[in-house]
Amino acid sequence: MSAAAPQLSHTALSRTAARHLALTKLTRCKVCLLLALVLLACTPQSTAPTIVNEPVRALRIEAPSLLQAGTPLTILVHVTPATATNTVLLTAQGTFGFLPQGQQPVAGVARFSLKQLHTRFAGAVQVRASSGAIAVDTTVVITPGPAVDPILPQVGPRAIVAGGEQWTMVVATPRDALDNPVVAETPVTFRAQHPVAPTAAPATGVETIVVPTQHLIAWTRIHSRNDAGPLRIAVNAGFGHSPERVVIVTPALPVPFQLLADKTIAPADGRQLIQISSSQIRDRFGNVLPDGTSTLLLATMTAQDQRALPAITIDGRIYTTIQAPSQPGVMQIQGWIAGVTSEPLTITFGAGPAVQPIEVVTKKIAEGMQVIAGPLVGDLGQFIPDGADVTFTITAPDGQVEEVIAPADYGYAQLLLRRGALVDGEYQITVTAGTGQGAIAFPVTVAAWSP
Amino acid sequence: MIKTRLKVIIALSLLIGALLMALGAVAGIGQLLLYFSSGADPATIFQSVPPVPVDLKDRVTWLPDGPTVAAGRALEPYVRERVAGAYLYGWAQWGISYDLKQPYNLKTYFTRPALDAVTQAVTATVAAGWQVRQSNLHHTLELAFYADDGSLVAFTDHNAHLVQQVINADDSLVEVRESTNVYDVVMRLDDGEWRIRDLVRRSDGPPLTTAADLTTTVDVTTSPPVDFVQVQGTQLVLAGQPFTIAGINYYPQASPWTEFWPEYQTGQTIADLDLIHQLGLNTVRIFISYQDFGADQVQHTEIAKLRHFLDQAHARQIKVIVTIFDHHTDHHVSTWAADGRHLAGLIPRVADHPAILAWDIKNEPDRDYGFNTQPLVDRWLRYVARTVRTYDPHHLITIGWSRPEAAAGLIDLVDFVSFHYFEELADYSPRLEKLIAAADGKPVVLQEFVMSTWNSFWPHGHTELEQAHYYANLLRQHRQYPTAGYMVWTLHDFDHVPLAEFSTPWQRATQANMGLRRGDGTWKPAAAIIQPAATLDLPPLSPWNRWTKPFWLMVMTIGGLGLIGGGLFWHRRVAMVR
Repeated sequence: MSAAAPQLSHTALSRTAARHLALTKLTRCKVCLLLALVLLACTPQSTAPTIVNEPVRALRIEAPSLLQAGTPLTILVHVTPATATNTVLLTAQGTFGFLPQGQQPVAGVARFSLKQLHTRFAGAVQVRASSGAIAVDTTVVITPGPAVDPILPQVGPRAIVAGGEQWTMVVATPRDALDNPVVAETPVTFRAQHPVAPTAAPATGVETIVVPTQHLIAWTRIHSRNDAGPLRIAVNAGFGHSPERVVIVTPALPVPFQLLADKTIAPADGRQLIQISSSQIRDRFGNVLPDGTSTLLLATMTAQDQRALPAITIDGRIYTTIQAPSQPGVMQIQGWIAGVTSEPLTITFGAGPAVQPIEVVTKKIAEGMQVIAGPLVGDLGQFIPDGADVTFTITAPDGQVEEVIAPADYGYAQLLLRRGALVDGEYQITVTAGTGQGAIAFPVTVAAWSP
Repeated sequence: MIKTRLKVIIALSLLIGALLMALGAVAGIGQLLLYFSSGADPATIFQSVPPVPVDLKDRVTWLPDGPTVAAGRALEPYVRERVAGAYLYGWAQWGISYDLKQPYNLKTYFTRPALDAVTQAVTATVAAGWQVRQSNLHHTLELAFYADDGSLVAFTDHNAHLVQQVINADDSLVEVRESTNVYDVVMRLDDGEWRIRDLVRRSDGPPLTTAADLTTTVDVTTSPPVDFVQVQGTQLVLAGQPFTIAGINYYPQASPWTEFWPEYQTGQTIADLDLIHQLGLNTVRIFISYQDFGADQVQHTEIAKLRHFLDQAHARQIKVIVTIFDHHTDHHVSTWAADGRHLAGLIPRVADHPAILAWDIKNEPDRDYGFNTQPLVDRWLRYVARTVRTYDPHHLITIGWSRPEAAAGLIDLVDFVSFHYFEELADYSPRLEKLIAAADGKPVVLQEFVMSTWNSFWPHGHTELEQAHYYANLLRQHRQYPTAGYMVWTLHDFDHVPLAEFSTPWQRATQANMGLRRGDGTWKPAAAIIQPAATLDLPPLSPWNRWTKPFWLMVMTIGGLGLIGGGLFWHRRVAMVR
């Protein structure tokens, strides 16, 4: 360690000296460099030729006038003089946007590349090259390709009426592979499969319409024919096909129809249900009205007694029921569908339910006076239906009249006049059930009440 | 004793300072409490967009429907309005997206595939480092198709009048383009809103005559009325006689700049026009403030004031140069449509007035270059000049450039060249000579020159005599050239200068003292100089004139006191050393 010390010291000295020498050299170099710069500054300017940026005097665009959409495009702008190096600005005013590019001309030509991304939109592109106040224009028309899948037609309305007076409109914009609407006057084929009678060949219902595109679209109207059902539509153009679109052709207004009933004579018992139906309702072309068509039945007995019965059709017929009234009379029923009315249907409700005189008896019990009416029998001598209304008209000794309705139960109806509500004097009770009638009168002495 | 007094003064100063700070703190806290206790305006909750743009009728013209529409369903007026409104909004949203450098809310007005295409166009432009600004000024639509179920329309836009500005990343390339374009358009009704579905640019549109854009009836007579000033070579002529402008720029004394029209006084106008007439001047230049006149909705009341001014000038055989778009310095392309409506509301209503000498379409537009770029301002001037010309084919058009060099820029746009001069007299003749050479044989008018007579302790003050000498010297040079006249700034010294115009005290004081007539109603010497036949020979200024100004007196006083103080200090120091 100690032997090495002098050598180390020597080395350190050498390094210091070397560093000093180097610094001195560096300082000298700097001084020399400074002197050189001063000399250079004092030297007259070099007469060596330099590149002079001449101003642009004229521009010329070299570009195709027609281009297929999506094809890369190179536009050359020729600059005069060829030595000019001012940046040339190229703007392309196309359908979607304003694509600027700047390029410095090389040997009198500025080369601009428009990638597929920039040429994918069809339309007239105004290309302008400018440099300073000099500007020049040209137009490149980018044309769309042929129509490809899918063509997506818009159809409306989606439901029309048979008979040829109504139509649906089909609008299609056939597009190329880059979504551009195809070129104007491209023929577009609209095919429609009209509904046909079950026995007819489907081909008899096919309609083909060819329309050229205008204003980016092709459109046609497809009128209904006489048969109702689904109208299927497809559109083709070039290599493009469409999904099927379906329009419902509904039957036209129905012709007048008939109402039917399972019985046209019935007792006015307030309970019986009468089945009402209709003939199969069709339009003038024989198309059956679709299920669910709304109808309205209007049942009229007197001017004050009218009933409206909404109903829907099933298999072209109306099915509904109507309850017998409590009072006898003649009921007229008419059906209405979209302003078309049926012939009136007449149902006669005869007397009932009870038709024979009604026997009325009283029975004094602890709770009061029990009034029993019966037997209540109909025209065949049968009990009237259970639950039929039996009306008890009670006239109190003071002349007050009260009506109480009790249901028939197995041919009898009964009423309890509670003891607490009775007053002294004579009561009169009349019982009616349909045309059957009976009456009874009985005295009441509350103080001497004994069952 | 002195120390005690000094302590009292310091204590009082501190006390007053503390009181002021306390008052400020209380006021600040009060304002803060007020801010937090008052809610937002409920109306601001609804950032609703009107169903159709308010300027729809001005910006869209419907041609008669195409023949293919006749057989089908007629486009209901309500639907027509909604379609056109959505179409305008679509273009506007496209422009907004360019401004924001990202696709922004485009789906409100576009649907696929146009939505994808516009989105891509905006994204690609931004990604390439370009900034595009785009505005649609007008559209001329012809309906081609309306679906029977009311869900689709197709129409042709025969004249999509666009203005676009393109700027590269380092602002070294700027181009402004005004174009007309023909587009085929298909729009679809989606969720109750009309949206652009297809757009194809078919060709360039008609030339930029603007006639197709205009909805106001314009005068189409071929020859101008005899009492309108016309251009003949390098001269102006009126009724066949040369007409050399000897004029003045005008604001009332009590209500200059933006206060002129809001505080318009008929009596003041009459009195001032009488004064101008007495001065022997034949022209006055006035300024129409864009905002004060209602911006894009020009107010009838303001037109009535303008007509009054013109009537009174006409009664005194004074012609008027009407400077429009005053205080309107933002020329972003999105403002152009509103500017067009401003012109539509203003120009046709006074286009028949014989008092108007010319429309000055902008005062010192070259000063707007800095924050708008020169290509944008120049293109805007072309748009304005073309629109003015269409509304008023007979009155002359000029632009009031702030320097002779700037005036050489758009010579083709104007009927006569106007420039302002506020600089060294020695440079005037050569600069005017160059402008005349560049003017392509058109008349040249010195439209503003001025020297303020505010002479105070602030440097660069001038006396009224200096003002007279400056004007005389300038006009002497001016008379050497075949110009169409001159106009001085301005009639009055103003009582005050609106703070919005000039903010610093020295600017305001300078501007307030530029008139020919003092605040007390007496004339300055320069008033005799600006008359057309005035002799320009004035007795020379005293060589000591400059040194008698307050500023130099103050400098000399301070300098003298400094010298004396320095001398005393040096003397005392020498004495101490000895």
